[in-house]
Amino acid sequence: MAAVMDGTGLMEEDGRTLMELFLDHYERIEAYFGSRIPRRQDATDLVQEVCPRLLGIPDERTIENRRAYLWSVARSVLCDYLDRNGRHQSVDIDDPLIQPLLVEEMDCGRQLDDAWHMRLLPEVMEKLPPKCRTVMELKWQHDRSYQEIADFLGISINTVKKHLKDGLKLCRQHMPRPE
Amino acid sequence: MPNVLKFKRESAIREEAAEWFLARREGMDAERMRQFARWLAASPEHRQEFREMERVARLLSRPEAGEGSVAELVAQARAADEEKVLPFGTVGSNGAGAARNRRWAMAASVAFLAVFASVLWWKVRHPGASEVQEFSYRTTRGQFLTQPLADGSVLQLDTDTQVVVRYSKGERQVRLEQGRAMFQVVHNAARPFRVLAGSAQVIDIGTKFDVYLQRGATLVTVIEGRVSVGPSAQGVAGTDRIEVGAGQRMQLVDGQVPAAPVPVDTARAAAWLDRKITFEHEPLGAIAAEFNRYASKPVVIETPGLNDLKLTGSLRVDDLDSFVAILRSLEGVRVEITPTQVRVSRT
Repeated sequence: MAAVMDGTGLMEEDGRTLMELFLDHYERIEAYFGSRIPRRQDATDLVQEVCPRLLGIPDERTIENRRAYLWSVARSVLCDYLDRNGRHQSVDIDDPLIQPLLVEEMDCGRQLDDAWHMRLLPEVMEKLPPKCRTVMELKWQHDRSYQEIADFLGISINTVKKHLKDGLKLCRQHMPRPE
Repeated sequence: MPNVLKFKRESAIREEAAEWFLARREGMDAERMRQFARWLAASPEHRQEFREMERVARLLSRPEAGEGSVAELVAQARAADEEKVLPFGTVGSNGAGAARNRRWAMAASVAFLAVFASVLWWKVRHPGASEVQEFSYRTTRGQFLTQPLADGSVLQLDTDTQVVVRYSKGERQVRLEQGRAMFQVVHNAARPFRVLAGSAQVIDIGTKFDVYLQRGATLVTVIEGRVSVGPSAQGVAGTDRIEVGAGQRMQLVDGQVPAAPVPVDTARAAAWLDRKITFEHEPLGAIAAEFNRYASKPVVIETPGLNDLKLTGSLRVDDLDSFVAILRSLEGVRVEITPTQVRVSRT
């Protein structure tokens, strides 16, 4: 298990973003905090502090090993809390609650879902109203800013945001996943 | 009944998740982030929906998810707009109309070109070795146009401007025939980007720059990166060229390259992109001339001496009322507004 932390790519990156990983492991992190913090409510509240620290990164593509990064953020939040409350404990990775966070679970299901939805994507895009679809493509495919999209299409920034919101909702509706 | 409620709740959560997703992409301050974290903590459904939004966006960003360059997407969208609104040739706009009228007028005036261009783009997706694509873009008085080019570069046209874009396999060339344009160029050493404007030639080295064709002179201002500037008569291999870097400007008169570029405030130089004119201790004559490039009703300085009056400030290009207010506030100045002109004279 020591190999897990050395960042040489021994683990396969599964392509999920930091937020996706965090949300997939949310309850697990909560349980982990709960095992080190006596008051249930404090543990639950503490998970909320992981969020801003994850969001503070300008470009998460520069992070080679997202799982390890997520773990180190969770760990530093826990350590800071324990320090603040005068409880110094060693926080290490040999905790069964944390292991799944660090190691890719053999979840072929999720990768199949991704592959299936990618094949479905052209049909889903067809269902979007034309302007909405153009805005979605300019944003996600070509990474243009709201201002650029507004200028190209002669619409306001608020209209761009509305199209993005509607587009995301429609795409989400047509790409369901088993709970 | 419970199912209806469940569905309503699902769609409300989805709406919230989409909003939070976009808010997060836009950037949040500490307080907003706390609210976001609280929203996530509030229920597993919230977390589920947000995670799915992340996932959808991630899948949409994959290269295999879409076809079509920015230029194609925009051309198609504009052509679709035009089909719905105005048939070709029935342009009924006046430049002094509201912003909305301007947008339709712009769509109409470039619509033919957009449809023509989009048809050509679809047809020449894989140009042969000798294939040259040439497109012309024009704005009338008071109009602006943002145009993505086939290679990902972006062209922005100011009022009363005409450019001709000529892309071939080995070169990207733009002729600025009239007016002012801003160029944001995707650098490609194998396919140099050249702008010809009056007696000047600008070669992109990797950058964002502004070219302003005035009467008798060409003004080149570099916002980011570097360009090489020289007389157009010489061609790319000419030696009489100077490099101009970010925050610098060069003025060529009759192809004469000055010894060195001069420093310039790029925020002020690029103010026109925000539809503004800014001036610092500049003569009223020059300010009025610049304002008149956009105006349908010109400001005419009748007393010659007033041309040298120095002013400092900033104006929106379509804001005649504010300009008149500034002029009226000056001592000894009278402003008379007629149906066709704004006449400024000494009292």
